[in-house]
Amino acid sequence: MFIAPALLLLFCVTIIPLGYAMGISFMKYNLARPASAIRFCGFDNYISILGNEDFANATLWTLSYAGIVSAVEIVLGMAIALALSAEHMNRLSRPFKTILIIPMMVGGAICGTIWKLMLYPMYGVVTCLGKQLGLGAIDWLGTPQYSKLALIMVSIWGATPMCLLILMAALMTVPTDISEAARIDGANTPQQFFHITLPSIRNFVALVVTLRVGDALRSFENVMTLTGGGPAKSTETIGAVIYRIAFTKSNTGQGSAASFLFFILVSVISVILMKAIQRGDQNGAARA
Amino acid sequence: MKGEMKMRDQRAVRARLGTVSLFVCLCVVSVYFVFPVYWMISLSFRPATEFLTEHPSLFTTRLTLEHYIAVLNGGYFLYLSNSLIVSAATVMLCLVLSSMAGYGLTRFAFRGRKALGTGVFLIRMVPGLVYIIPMYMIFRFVGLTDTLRGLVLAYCSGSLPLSIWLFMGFYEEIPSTIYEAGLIDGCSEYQLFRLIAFPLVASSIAVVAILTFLGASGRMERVHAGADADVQEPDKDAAYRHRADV
Repeated sequence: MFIAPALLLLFCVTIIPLGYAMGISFMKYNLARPASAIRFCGFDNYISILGNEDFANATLWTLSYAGIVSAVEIVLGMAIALALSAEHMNRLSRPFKTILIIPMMVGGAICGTIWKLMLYPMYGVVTCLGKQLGLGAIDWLGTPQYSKLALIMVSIWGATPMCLLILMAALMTVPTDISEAARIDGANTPQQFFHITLPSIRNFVALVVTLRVGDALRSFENVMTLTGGGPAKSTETIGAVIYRIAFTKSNTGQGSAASFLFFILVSVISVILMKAIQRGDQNGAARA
Repeated sequence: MKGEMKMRDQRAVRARLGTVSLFVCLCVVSVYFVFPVYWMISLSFRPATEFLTEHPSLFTTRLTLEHYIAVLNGGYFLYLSNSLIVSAATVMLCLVLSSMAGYGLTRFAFRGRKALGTGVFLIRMVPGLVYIIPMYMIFRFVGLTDTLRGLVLAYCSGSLPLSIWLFMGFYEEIPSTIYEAGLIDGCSEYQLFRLIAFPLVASSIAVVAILTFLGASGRMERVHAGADADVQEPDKDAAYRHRADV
């Protein structure tokens, strides 16, 4: 009775479209052709998308991008969170806590736009800074390596604050008496961190990892606004490829097939990470 | 005695040094995180000659409001009211539905409850792009494209899984004895929800509302993905407008 309304909406707006998308993915369906050209074609779409070089490249890039980005974000977020919660930083850290979460208020598309302004070849402020530092005129958005670097930099800028926020909250849950006892027993700071702090916030870390990896895999807006997938498709994530196939090329059938493969990829990775969380839970329970 | 004093001094010096170096590191990191925002705001007040130059200056005294005037004359209030209406409606609808669904999923033991909970969580993992094509077709079929109602439905479905999940966590905190007391006092199931369970989680609603609101405005780009030419316009006005729009 209570669940029904929500389920009904979820059913209408997510399950039915999912089924519909599944149906389309088995059809030869191109919006640019007349409706009479629509017909069932079995696994053709899947086969052609798996043989599509762009899709393969994008998958590789998306995976490495998601890996790098989430690793840096979490390590950086952790480092800042530790620095901010260090005892002797008590009063100094307050302004930083406010300042550092500002990027969280900026949505993905705007984040890409701001940075694009800053990375412009001629007028961009970052480019000018590079020139003054003697790095020469770097074409941030025009060369594959640099635009990949730029994309990574921008994503880190946008998402580290969220990691920081969760990790800071996590660090507050660590009881101080254990670390004090360890310090008296002669543990140094790294030992305290790896043997006490990290295990006790393990679940939070797992949560951040799952969220961030999932988001990074699905990142689309910042890619589209920052580089548009270019130069020469080098920064196209899977999302951007699907968008290009399904909307720019109007090949809806193939786009749906690609979406499904993408969905499977994301769910497999998410489920693996979720399993890691559950294992962490059991360990925590066993220890307690 | 003297040695002990010296050691204490050394420790104090080291602690001070640690604080200073941490502070410097944090300042450097903060520049990375704050500068883009500063730059965006600063550019929005500058005349075009100030930023279309090879040597942009960090500060300027030549300020102008022309971009804001241009934006405000360009139908900005319509965008703003659209955003506010859609976000507010999404939050309301989502709160009503998810508070009920979360209650149902925690209060009653029925077959498939766990599977339902997991299913809700898994739906959150589906990349939004999967929906775009079929959702567009279905909305076109029922005449919801280009309407704010359609947007509300689309955003709401995106926010529901997480909100339901959060509400389930809140309701689990309520001890079952409270429900039993309510039943003995003659509450109907609906009254249990409205008079007991919902008021008890009411303080947590702000969290869900904020997350839904942020989610609804953030998803903006996703649903009209490419249709929004403004986002790609390399103009600080557009950037600023869209920032405020969201």
